[in-house]
Amino acid sequence: MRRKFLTLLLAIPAVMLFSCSSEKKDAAASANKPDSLKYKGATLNILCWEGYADEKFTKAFADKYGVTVKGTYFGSSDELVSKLQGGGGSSYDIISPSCDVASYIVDAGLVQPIDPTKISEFNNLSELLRNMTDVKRGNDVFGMPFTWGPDYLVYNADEIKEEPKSWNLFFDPKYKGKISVWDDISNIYLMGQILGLDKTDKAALYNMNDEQLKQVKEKLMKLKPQIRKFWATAGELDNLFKNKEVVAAVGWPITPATLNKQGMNLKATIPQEGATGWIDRLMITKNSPNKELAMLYLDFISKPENMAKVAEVTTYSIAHQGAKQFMSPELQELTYINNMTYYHERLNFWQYVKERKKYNELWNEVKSGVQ
Amino acid sequence: MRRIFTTGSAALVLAFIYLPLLTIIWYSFSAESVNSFPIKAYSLEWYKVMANDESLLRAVGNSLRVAFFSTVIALFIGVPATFALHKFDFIGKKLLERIVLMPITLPGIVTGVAMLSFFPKIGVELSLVAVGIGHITFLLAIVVTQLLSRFKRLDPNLEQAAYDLGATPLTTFFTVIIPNIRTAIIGAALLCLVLSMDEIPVTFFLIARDNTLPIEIYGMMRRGITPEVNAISTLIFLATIVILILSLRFSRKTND
Amino acid sequence: MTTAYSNRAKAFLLLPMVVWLIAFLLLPYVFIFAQSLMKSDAFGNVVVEFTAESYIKIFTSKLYYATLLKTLMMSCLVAVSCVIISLPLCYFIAFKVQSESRKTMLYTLIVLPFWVSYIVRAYSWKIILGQFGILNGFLLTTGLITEPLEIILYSDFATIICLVYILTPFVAIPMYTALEQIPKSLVEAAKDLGAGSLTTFFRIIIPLGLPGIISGATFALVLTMGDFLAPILLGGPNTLFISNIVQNLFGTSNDKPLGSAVGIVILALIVLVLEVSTYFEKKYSSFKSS
Repeated sequence: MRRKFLTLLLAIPAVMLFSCSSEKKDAAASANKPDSLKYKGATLNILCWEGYADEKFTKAFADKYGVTVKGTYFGSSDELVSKLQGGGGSSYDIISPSCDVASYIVDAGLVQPIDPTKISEFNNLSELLRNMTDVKRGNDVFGMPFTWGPDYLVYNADEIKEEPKSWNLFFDPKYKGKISVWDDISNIYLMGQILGLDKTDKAALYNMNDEQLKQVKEKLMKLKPQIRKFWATAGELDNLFKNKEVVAAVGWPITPATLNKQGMNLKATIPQEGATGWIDRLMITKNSPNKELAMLYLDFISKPENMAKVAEVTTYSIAHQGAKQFMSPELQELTYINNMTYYHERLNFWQYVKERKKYNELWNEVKSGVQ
Repeated sequence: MRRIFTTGSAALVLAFIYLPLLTIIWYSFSAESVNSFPIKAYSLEWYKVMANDESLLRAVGNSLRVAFFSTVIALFIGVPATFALHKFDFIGKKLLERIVLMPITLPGIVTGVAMLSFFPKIGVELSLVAVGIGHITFLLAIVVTQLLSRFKRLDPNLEQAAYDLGATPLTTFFTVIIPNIRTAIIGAALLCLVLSMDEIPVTFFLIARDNTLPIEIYGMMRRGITPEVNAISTLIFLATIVILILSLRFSRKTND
Repeated sequence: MTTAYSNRAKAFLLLPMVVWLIAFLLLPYVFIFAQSLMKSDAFGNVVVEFTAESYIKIFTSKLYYATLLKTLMMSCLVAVSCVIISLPLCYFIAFKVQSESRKTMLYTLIVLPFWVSYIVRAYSWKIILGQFGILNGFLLTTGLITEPLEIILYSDFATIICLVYILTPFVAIPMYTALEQIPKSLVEAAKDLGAGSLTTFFRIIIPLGLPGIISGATFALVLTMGDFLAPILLGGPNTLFISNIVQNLFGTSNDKPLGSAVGIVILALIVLVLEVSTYFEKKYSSFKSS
């Protein structure tokens, strides 16, 4: 009896170890097979914003190559950077950084150049985005244009009947405890915008001096009693709206897109002070174990029919105007695909904040309630 | 009157402990997508959703794997060492006993960030392997505390008898001592499995892309797919009770 | 008999664990201590350069020391609440229940939730305290309130109640063990001498049960100090524990030296709490634990 027990204890890990290693052998043996079978069994790991690894578009890719596409979502740019720097090393193949940390990620050597010639639609992607220099170093291109969009004022139109004209709605005593903002330093940009700091220089929001930061902090402290909860993920914000915990919030287009499908009546607007926005690129990590497969994915996702699906899931603006033939008129309108410069005129796109640590500390101070 | 007061307050406390758990079980049968009161319709919808949730099932698999390997390795390392702690005196024994207990006496978050900082430096990438190493480290504390008291109750004559029959110390350890405390080992193993399946603070920092079950549930709660969580939680609760009953049985046998 | 074991055999038994603990426990701790004395650059990389900057910051910048104090106070509140909640139940089981089997059953009922997943227990309070949760729903249907209470979920209050809930078994287990050891004859003697129930409770039972109460309260205190999930899941805009700051410094702000330093300060504080508590436990223990 006891011998049986001991053998069992020893045998099980041995079997499991063996089965693990045989899996690897399969992957190695398949290296010489034709393209469609070459990657069979591999897993492509995407570290991205919510909605960027949705089955609605990844499944076709997964089926075509017999691979698994797995998305891991991050909740803020800082989280992305610390995940990449924190020793996750080769855990991820593709990332979707926004324009606030894109150039930093390139400079920190966390990603590798991509080969635009392997992306068949590359030259049909928005020229404006392709020409941005923050992810280029010499002849090397590090990012493929993907999506962009605003940090909207999202509100529940059943509760707030009239379209809000100004962000000052957040400070209205009527909505005390009914507001939610993102748990992120972008609130500092937003307060700066409300204070009008970016009237003459858009970059001012990302380079505030101590005096301006002090003003922003005061403003944020005034906002705090109005806040129900800081949301950390888009899904959490969805839940806050769904459970009627909040009526207005800073949010991305994906929130009304998701909830209106479930019968809610959310609307989104850019108030008179303007709004901040983001431009997301897809990049391949330095230590990606599946570099070729990652390039194939970039090629796949940039095809108009797939871009259209990205738009459908997120309602973000997408980089390929040709996708519109696959989109409903409503979706075309929501994503401004016929007016691709609209957002570029209205939004103040995130930029790299040199004093990021200071911004983060200020945000922690606001959360802790320390004056 | 006084009797009613004591009984009443004891009952209230029990209600405080159990009502929230019953709530989850109750709500797991709700048909709605929001947890609202009162429940308007009942269904098994969320169990179906759960059974088809691939990433959740993967997380269960990951958790089982981590828990299994961690427990086995912690036992392999921990049982002989516990025996040595029980049997011999050596320099630094008291210190060693304190160090073993560190992961359960000190807050998990500090252990977590310490491992997060250090592991990549020695080539252990953040991954389920890192999580497993973290788990083994705190499971050692469980193995040592659980088994030390059992070793103390072990009849010393047993060991002596083995020597008298010509067994070497190591043979004695593996063929006489271990089998005699096997129920305690199984009890400790079950406790290790449950604790590893449930561990969050250390796992939170060592995880890369493959989630364990509690981290997956945490993610779901943050993303807000909540009613499904009711269904999983109910199953976790039931599984826990089964394991608890098993481990009570084993520990009772040990006491005989 | 011990000599039967050669040194090689001893090493064979002991060394794997010693090596493991050094490699995966002690070295990480030493490492963050070293890291806490370094600097981080604007990119979040650790610069190897000795400085006490982080520690100075913790003790001069209000964000850190005020949050630490607030967390400490919250932890005390949680610990005291756990004690107050556990006491009647433990007292009831130890002194009012006569049959052994019912005692075992009730004790098992206290221990059981201890085994149930932390995340599941925390989550249950989200259902109960939500805007349309059970509490609001119940109060609305009974007509006690006309508008749903908004302050209950996502607040300090929700965080505390959740922690109290989760940690009550940790407090109740040692408390019950201590109360159970008080000789029943002592309680009867007090009554024979004319002491009322309340007098007996406060003059006999509490003082004699104190070591168990202290060790239970210490558990709750220490575990709250290290908790960062309850504030995330149930806390409001004001709920930030010191552990959340550590998590932020590692997870988003990317300032590992400062994060390590805060971690080390928490560690030091907890070791202090543990030492003080052990001292008092010994001081008040009148019975040798069997």
